[in-house]
Amino acid sequence: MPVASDALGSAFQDPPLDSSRMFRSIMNAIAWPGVIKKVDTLSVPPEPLTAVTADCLLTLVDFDTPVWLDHRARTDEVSAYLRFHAGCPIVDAPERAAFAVIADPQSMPSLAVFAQGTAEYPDRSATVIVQTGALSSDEGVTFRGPGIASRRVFSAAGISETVWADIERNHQGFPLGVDVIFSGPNCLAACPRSVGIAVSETV
Amino acid sequence: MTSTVGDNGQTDGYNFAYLNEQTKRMIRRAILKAIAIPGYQVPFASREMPMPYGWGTGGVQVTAAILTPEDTLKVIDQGADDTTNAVSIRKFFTKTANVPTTTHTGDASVIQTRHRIPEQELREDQVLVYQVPIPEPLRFLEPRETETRKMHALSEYGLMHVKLYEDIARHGHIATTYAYPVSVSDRYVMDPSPTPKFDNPKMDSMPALQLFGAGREKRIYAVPPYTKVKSLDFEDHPFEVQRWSEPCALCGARDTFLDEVILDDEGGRMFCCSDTDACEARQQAGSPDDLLDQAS
Repeated sequence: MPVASDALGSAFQDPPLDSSRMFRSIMNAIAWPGVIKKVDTLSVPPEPLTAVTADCLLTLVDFDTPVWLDHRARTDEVSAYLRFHAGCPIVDAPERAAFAVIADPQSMPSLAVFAQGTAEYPDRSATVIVQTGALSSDEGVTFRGPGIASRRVFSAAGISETVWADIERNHQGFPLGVDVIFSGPNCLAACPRSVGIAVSETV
Repeated sequence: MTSTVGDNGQTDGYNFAYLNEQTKRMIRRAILKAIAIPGYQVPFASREMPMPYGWGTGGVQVTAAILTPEDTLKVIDQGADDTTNAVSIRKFFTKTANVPTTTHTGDASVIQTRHRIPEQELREDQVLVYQVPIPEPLRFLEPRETETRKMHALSEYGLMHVKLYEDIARHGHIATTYAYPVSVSDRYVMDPSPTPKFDNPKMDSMPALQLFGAGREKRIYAVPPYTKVKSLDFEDHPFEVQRWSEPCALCGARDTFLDEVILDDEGGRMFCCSDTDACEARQQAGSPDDLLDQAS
């Protein structure tokens, strides 16, 4: 693993190739909701940003995409890191963000505060990256929808039933809504807005 | 202008897969939105490519944005690996991304296609990239983008059914044979690009991810794996695919899409598979005569 050389941490060593591989993992995660993708992380970001979250952001954000950071992620070091390596604006208003980072899922705001898109342009919506504990496909909520042959079980440590209920409520507005990426330890998974979530279903 | 080839076989002076990183990020964000909203056409800032519109600039940009060095690329044009469009796009990515290419459907991880879906069933670890000329299925019914956008927003697709009904009134059956409109995941009506309607059933619940790129029209859309794709039809005029009275003249297949090939100027013609890879595989597996004997 590369060692952070200074206060700004480090980003991709070979951006075209590193980001192509990272994007493929993210794309497959969105196309296969709830499937856990292992990630060989490359960046060394400042705390509390994890390397998986930083790799996602380095792959997807730039000067075109305002980023919103939650109360825990919004440190001077994280802002400086993202501004330097990705060149993205950091915004105060969540509704202006194209990407949002949640480092503290316990006090996660409702997804309703983020851009949902419009009926004519549902793509003008936010993607929310949530840093969680371990991801599991053994137990948890049940996903149904595009990208899933019948149903898929998924859970992310630190994501409470209240949060799942909020995501489920958000996804009922399809095709409007927010796409969620779960950034776990050396892995990631996604729950795009097309997914229907059953919270209390027993498996 | 001369170009040099670097140590890794890739032409020097180009970024990996030709496009610059900011362009790739913009396309990648559009692809993620497209997958999250199946069938919805995401606008994107399509770039000028070193080939004219109509030669697959949309598909090329999508392929460039998703390609990794570990990929193996296959490119087909109307099912064939050896036509100008397919050969030049394959060479383009050999030069600019140094990825291995193949003509075998089973060996490819990314397949870029113009107007066909391979006959061989695709797998979960494959991605199919379509080149799309006109992404808007309602465009020839309603030329105004502001109106078609509203129609998609409201799921107002009555006009499309009227068009199919007029086919029946005029011809006695639905005469649309390619670019046959589909409903994706019971929400958006989508143009499957000018693939023959023969290929529509393959799109339904396909294990592979399907991405669509329209370069001139600046739209990207997608069908995730295992997603319901239904061809529009009527209860009393159900959707049907084309059938042929004779098998492929080269491999004997009766279950593939056949091209009519004119042989001379005296009316001579033959029908053969449009998917060259599937046809060659069958020819190698057994001579046409054997297959014809089995079939009869």
